[in-house]
Amino acid sequence: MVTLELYNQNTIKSQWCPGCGDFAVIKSLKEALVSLEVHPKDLVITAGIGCSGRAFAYLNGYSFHGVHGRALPLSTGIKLANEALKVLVLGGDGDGYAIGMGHFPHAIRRNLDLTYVVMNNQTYGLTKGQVSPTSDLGYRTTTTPAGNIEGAIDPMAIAMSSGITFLARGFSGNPKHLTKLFERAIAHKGFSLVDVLSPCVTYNRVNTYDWYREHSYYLDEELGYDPTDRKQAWDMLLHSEKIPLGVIFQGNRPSYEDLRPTNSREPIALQTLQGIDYAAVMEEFF
Amino acid sequence: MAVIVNQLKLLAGGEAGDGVFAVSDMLALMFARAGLEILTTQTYSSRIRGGHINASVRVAERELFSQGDELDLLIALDLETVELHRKTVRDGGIILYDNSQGEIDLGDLEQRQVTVFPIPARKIAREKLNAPIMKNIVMTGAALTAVNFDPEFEFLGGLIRERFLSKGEKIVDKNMEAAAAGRELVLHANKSIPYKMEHRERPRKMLLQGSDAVSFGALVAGCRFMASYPITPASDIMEYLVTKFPKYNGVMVQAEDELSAINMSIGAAFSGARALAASSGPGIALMIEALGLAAVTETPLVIVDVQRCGPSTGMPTRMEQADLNLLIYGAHGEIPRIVIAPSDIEECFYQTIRAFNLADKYQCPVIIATDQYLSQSQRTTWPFDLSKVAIHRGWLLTDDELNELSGPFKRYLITERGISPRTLPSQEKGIFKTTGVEHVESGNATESPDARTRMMQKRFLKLDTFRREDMQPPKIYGNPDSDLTIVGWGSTKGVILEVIDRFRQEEGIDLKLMQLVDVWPFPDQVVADILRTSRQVAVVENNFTGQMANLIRQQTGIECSKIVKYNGAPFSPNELYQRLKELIMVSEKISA
Repeated sequence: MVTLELYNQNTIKSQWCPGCGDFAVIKSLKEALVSLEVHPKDLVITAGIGCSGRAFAYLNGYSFHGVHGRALPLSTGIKLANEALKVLVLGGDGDGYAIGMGHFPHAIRRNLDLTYVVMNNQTYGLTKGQVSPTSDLGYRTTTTPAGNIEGAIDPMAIAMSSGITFLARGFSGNPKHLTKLFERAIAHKGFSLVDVLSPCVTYNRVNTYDWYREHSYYLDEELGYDPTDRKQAWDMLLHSEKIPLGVIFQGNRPSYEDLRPTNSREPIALQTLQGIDYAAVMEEFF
Repeated sequence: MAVIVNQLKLLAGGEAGDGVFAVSDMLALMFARAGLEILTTQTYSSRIRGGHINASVRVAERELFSQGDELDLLIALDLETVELHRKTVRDGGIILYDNSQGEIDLGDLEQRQVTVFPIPARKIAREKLNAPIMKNIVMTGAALTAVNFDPEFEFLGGLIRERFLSKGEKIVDKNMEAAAAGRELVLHANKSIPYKMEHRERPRKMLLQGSDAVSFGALVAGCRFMASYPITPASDIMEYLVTKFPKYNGVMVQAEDELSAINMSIGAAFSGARALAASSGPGIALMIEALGLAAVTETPLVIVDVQRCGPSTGMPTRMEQADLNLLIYGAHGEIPRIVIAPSDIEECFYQTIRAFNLADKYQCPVIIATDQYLSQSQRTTWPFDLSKVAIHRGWLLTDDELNELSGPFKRYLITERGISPRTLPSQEKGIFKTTGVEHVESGNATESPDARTRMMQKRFLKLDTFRREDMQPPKIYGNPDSDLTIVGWGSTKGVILEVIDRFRQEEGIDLKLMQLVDVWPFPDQVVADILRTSRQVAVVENNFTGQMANLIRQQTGIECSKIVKYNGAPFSPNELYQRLKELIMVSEKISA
């Protein structure tokens, strides 16, 4: 049986600051994995560099903490080599939207069955408070003492235009809602992104829990928001004054795994390599 | 006039898009099927259409080691080709050229007894055959006749049927008509031809290029995952494997860049697939950060570097051996790695298989260093012995073994040989965490100075084990007792062997070649022993600074003469012969 207790095994004590938004992310992830009955032996957690990347060590499962910005390619290889695995990709806004941005749209357009959780705190925490690609204009940091003069990027719009099939945004201040989002994201077949507004209590004194509460609202599917409506999703992303929270879009198209030409669905990594006859292939060289 | 039998070097040239390589490929394959030995080269530019390209085909009865020097036959699909290469046609040689667009000035060709056949291939293809694309078939038919080979088109007919039957009998017939038109023109010129190519009976040989052998070797080794980004001259490998993988349940991913490619391959290897990343200099440079990740997480990984002229974009389609330092040292921090430099087609195949076994055994990156010349030169080769192929996956724990462990599984267990047990995701008792951060035996991160020291020692211990159990000493060719030693690594072996042969025949001087295949870890002791007993040592390599010579000095303290070339072309036998001769003669005078 998959229990929370199981997910607490093989973990180490967290090094995050007290009050960090990322605690809620880990807690909600564990709950979602338990409710979906994903066994840690079938889970691979990959992570990039940053405070959020350290999350790989705080829940059970196979894990690979790679170099800065490359968690998505790493996950692509892991998943393709064994499609039976659940692959959970953890990172922050710097890791995913700055140094790793080159991989973001490509991972999305491949539509591999990965769940990407970005703990977005609009600042660099581990390197002690520099500006991030999601920092707002005017935001003051150690590297923008006169205020940020680069506009923030919108990862949600980039994800939409890259053909994402599951797009959601959550908030660390509401772990229950977050758990539901993770459950749906992990259950989704195809690439899912959950961008979590996850306050940095040490370096970001602007985008605090209160600030996010004031500047966000919940999409209500019961009251008519239809995440399968692409046009509505775009409208929501482009025209909302406040930040929409919830499942913004859910589409459906074949994944890279589905489309890969092959004569077998056995996990690539686990098939036997012994006793295969290649004489016919060698014949092509005559 | 004496007739030269079964000895030919031809060069086909023209503008990119003319079908030059179709001519050279067909001729090479026909001669190979006729039981002759082949060695081809390709020279092309980094552009799609236009610009001069050429391919050479050397043919002989005995095994060939290099592309040779002078031309016997020049096949010019345009006039520029004649101007560029007429000087390299030997006295008494042959020039076939397309005179649809003008005539050449014969100049000294008559005096040098070069036989010239103007073949209006373009005009014939367009006006008589109504198929401009067939101009190269006209030329091929003419070329075969000009060297007295395949008069009844038995070989050519077979090849044309193989290639074009799927398009219908009509197309086959039309191609044969095109070839016959070329043949008629040569026959009607009624010139005496000083060449004759004859069929020789021998067991079948393959005709393939280095990158084919690397790619096929990877497939046979059980490689089932490759991620790469297109780059000249390494793309051949991804293009080969993508066609083979579906049948063997493998996958080739064209990544968005090389940063991604190597990380995908590391991920696949972590899951348990045999994974490959291949590139050339610029891509390898981008992979260096993740190379360290593979090494520190002890993830098996095979990387192929098809070296080309650097630095930066350099000359993408030309050969060089200037990545040695990068492959041996490229990394921040220090990592164990193995670097192998195959020198011919057989080694490309067998060493690639060995690389996958070594990567699994030592759980570290294994780099195969080839170059544009070796990768894109086709050679007749005996069939590989597939029964000799063995796959060893290294120390992977089974579920039963995991159940028998007394304590928790330690992925980075410190052992006497430096190698730790490994598990694959989905094994319940084998769950571990891996990180590029320094870690303890469990895989958990650490900054403890003691743990760091032990883990560094553990990782490098693997190379000591490699030295003991798997390192291949340099191979010795020529006269092993000679005290004149040439050192080679990679693709220079062929030309060195040819030159050694010539020294023996023309000067009565015996030389030996010490060919390094395992270049890292460096076989210090063996190399030092061989070089200490040598009166003179010359390292032959295609780079500016003499990277191998410098490495030898660093590892053994022995200073060697450097014979370097860095203009993008491989050494030619004449050139290397002259340069070695100068070196040896100078030293002979001094010692006299």
